[in-house]
Amino acid sequence: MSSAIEEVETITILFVDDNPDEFVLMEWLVKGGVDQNTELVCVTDIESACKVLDEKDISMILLDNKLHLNDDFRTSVPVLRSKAFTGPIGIVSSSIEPEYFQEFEQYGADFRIGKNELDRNAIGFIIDEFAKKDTKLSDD
Amino acid sequence: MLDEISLAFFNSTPNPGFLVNEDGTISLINSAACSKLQLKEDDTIGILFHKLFPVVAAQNNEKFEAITGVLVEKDPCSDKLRILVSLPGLPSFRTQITKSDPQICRDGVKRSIVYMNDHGQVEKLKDSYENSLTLLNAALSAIPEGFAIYDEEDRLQVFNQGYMDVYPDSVDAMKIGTRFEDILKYGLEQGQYEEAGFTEESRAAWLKERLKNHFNPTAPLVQHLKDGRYIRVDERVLDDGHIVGIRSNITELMETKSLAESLGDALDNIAAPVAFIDIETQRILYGNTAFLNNLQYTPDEITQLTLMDINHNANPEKISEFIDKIIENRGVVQQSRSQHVRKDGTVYPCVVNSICENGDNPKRILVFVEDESIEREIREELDYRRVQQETFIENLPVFIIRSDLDTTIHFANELYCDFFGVSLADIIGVKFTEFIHTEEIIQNLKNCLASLTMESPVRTYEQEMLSSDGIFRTVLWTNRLVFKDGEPHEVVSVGRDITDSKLAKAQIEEQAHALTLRNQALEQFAGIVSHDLRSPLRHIRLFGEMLMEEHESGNSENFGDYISRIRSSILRMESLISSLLEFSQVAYKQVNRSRFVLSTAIDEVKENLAQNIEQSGAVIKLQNDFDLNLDYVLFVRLMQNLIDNAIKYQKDDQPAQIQISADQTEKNIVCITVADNGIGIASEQASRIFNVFQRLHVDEKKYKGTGIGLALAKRIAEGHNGTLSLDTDYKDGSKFVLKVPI
Amino acid sequence: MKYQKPDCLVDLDRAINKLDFYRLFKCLCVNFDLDLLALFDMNNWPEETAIESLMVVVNREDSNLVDLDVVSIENNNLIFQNMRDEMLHKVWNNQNVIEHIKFSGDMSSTTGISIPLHTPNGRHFGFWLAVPTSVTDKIDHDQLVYSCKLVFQNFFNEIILPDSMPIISPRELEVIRWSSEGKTSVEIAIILGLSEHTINSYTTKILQKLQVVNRAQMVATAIRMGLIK
Repeated sequence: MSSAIEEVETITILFVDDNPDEFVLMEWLVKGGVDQNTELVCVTDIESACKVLDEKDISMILLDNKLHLNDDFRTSVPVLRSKAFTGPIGIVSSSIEPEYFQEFEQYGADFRIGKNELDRNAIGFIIDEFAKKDTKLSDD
Repeated sequence: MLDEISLAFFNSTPNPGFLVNEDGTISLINSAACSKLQLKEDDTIGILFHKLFPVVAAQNNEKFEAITGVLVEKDPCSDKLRILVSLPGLPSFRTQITKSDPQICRDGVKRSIVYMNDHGQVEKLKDSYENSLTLLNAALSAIPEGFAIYDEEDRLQVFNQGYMDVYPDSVDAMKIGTRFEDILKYGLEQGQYEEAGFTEESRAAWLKERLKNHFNPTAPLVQHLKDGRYIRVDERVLDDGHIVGIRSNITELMETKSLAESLGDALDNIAAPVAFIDIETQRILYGNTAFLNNLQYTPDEITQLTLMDINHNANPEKISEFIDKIIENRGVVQQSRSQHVRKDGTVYPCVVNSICENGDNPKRILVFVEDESIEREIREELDYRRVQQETFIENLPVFIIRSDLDTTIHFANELYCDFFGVSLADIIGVKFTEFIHTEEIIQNLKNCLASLTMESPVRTYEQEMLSSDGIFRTVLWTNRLVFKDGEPHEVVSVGRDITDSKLAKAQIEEQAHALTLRNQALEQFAGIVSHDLRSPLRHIRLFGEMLMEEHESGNSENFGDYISRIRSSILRMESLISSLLEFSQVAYKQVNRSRFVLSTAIDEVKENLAQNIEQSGAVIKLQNDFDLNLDYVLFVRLMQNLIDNAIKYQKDDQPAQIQISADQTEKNIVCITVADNGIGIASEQASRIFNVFQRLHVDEKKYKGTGIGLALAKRIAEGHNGTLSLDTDYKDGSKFVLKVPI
Repeated sequence: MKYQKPDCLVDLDRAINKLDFYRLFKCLCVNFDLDLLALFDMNNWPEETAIESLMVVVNREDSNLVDLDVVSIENNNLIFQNMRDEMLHKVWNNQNVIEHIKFSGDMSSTTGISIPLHTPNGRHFGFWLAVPTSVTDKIDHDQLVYSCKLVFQNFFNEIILPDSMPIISPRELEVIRWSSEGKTSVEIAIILGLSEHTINSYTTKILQKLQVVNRAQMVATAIRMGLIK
């Protein structure tokens, strides 16, 4: 992965969380943790998230597990997938201990991470592993 | 190649293991070796393996060097080596080792893995040793007799100075762990045992006989050693296979005793009564222990007696005649029947076998007595036991009844009679159904008896029964059908009064329920601390870091924003913590019931919430009053939380209308409902709203609170063995239903 | 047992994707105060000087590390020789580290630990850990090495091994089936309600398992093998 021939891509991350304090924190973490051009779009509920998906090209979604009125990611991820979103979805939660987190792949999520584990290095790893376009396989 | 897996196995196996270089030095030891053999890695690495654990010759006295050689050379046969392991504070023991072929390791060096086949020997040794050794050693050193213990594999485990003094020539072979046979062989080589003779055959025979006696000791042995000493050997095999031996020096005893006495010494331990009789005086010269015990005399007393004294209705002429006959046929056993008189005057029948001393001038007759009364004693013993058994049954804390198939009783114990307040005479020969009149009991018994078959002759069931003092007791009956000649013969019934244990069980269940509730509360508490409190803490940490970063870069424009966010996180934590404290206090409070009316409690709630009610314009209506028997303080709290909740979640433009009513729906249960016209709760949320800190509404500015009120209300209801639930059919707002026993 | 699974690895058996393992390695870094943990694939070294890193976890805020995805190491590098050819881990003092680790940023106050890993099927990997020299004495090295090996064992079983196992999972079969109908990754992702990333990682695994290089070959081979009609 030599960066010389790589063209600069902008990664747009959609962050869904019901606590606006988290937006400030996430902005700060993403800004400091990644070399790429990144844009963070923050919304507080799934309806707004769906609206954003209609309007913007989103590279990755970071989703708070317990959102208002939606039980947890097991109901919210399928809603996002039903909008034909095929990018990675990661579950961000203050606790990922509950047993159902073990089945995150079945519900269409790509990864899970605890909010307390989320620092700049972790954000960098996630973007490297999941959001970069060059991991794509060409449809030959 | 030594791979990760072998290495992992090496490190996790319970057997001590060593990685040994080709030159015999140790390059790595595993954790089992560290812990079990008390080795330290630093002290062992680089040391020669056979220096640490001397190799013991397996066979043929192989030379040391040869064995250490095979340890490091490629030799597939070398895995049956035995080594000597010495641990600090423990006797050394031998154990077998297994050695792998040398493998090339990652660093190119050839190494072998050596495992010690431990079989838990170390623990075994430690356990049996540390417990008893100190005490035993102190005690042993104080006794002059030789003392030794051999373990179940016949290895010397414990011995004292006395033991070494007895066999001075074998001292060199007396090492902890040496087998008894090896010590004997060593002693034989030294000529220790004179009685074993000097030819190989005689010694082998002696050894065989000695070992036989060692493993199955019947009576003490007397050994004659080469220095002329006589040693008495007493051995016993313990239940666990250990053999305990005591050696006493009886040389003096042996030398001073007459022939008869010395013989007697050997005879003393024979179970049959034996005696020597002086031909001249017909006096008893000696009687062995059994003889003395039979006749109840002491050794001194017996030598004062003649045959006349111990034979019942003795005829002096007949005795003399019989003695003459014995002398005539010396060397041949003469049998006669007799009746011996004990010291206390009782008489017992016996058979006497007599034989006269050989020689020209015989002086003594040897007499063996066979006690014929033993059979009788057995019978008496059986009688005695039967009586004992009956007493036992009478004293058992159970009812015992034997009856015919039609329930005609022919035995009942005292306890049973006491229970029903009847005498045994009243119920013997009476049918059970004739003095028990409760239909249910009779039916249960009949059902039970009908179900008994030869294949399943026993059945157990519980039965409530009225005792003579008018109290119902629960009895656990076990009825057994007894067969005689293949036909049902009688019924044996055993009953146990389990009323108290049932009561205790119920109490335990109740306590367990209370405990479960508390544990649930505690678990919830722990969950909240880890989950809900972590989030604001994390915010404080991160906003703090952001502040620091901005401060370092000289940028201060966001300071105010970050600080106010930190402050609100702290406020949220504070309110969480005080709610939690409040919750835990109520969750653990004892329920103290008292009588009051519902309206009093509601009035107090209104007073407590006066400010809220006034500000919101809420209206509280009590539809009917009701007498209650609950914990007043807790109940007020419960109602206050429900009403507070209704006020908190009223619709924007509409002051809350709260309706309270009470009704007795079931026996002993009051049902109190609190209904409002607020924003309501979706039915899918019904089970979650009672969780501590459950937030249903994101916008905290609009709907304040930490969501603990409903959880607390539910806890209080449960503390009264009641329930609190949401009526999900109610559509005009929310309606809570409280059901509690009064 | 002398060594115990550290508390920070309670989730060890729940880890199923690379991020899960990143989190575990991160826990190790925090627990043992490591600056850096890198897991290298040593199978082609020293025949080839390029070494692929399977996982890099940085536990330092002021990280100015150069790209560690692929590093180039001379065949006489002692530290990497330890990882490739020896059995026991080694601790490298500051001077060694500066001399041999050229791919990383400022290493002036760093002690290194190299841990060779050899799997039962004869494959070779290695950990490179960077520890601040100031704390290196306070760490229980054996416990650290043991913990790293524990996580690696699961990483190998969950992440590395399945790639080389020629068994097609039901989900992978679905991907082949939809590919054979001409669907693209994105379309399959929509159909199955998964991300394109997941579909692509399935496809990559299938290509490896069937030992083919593109989708057309994949479909052809699958038909020939009777996996699909």
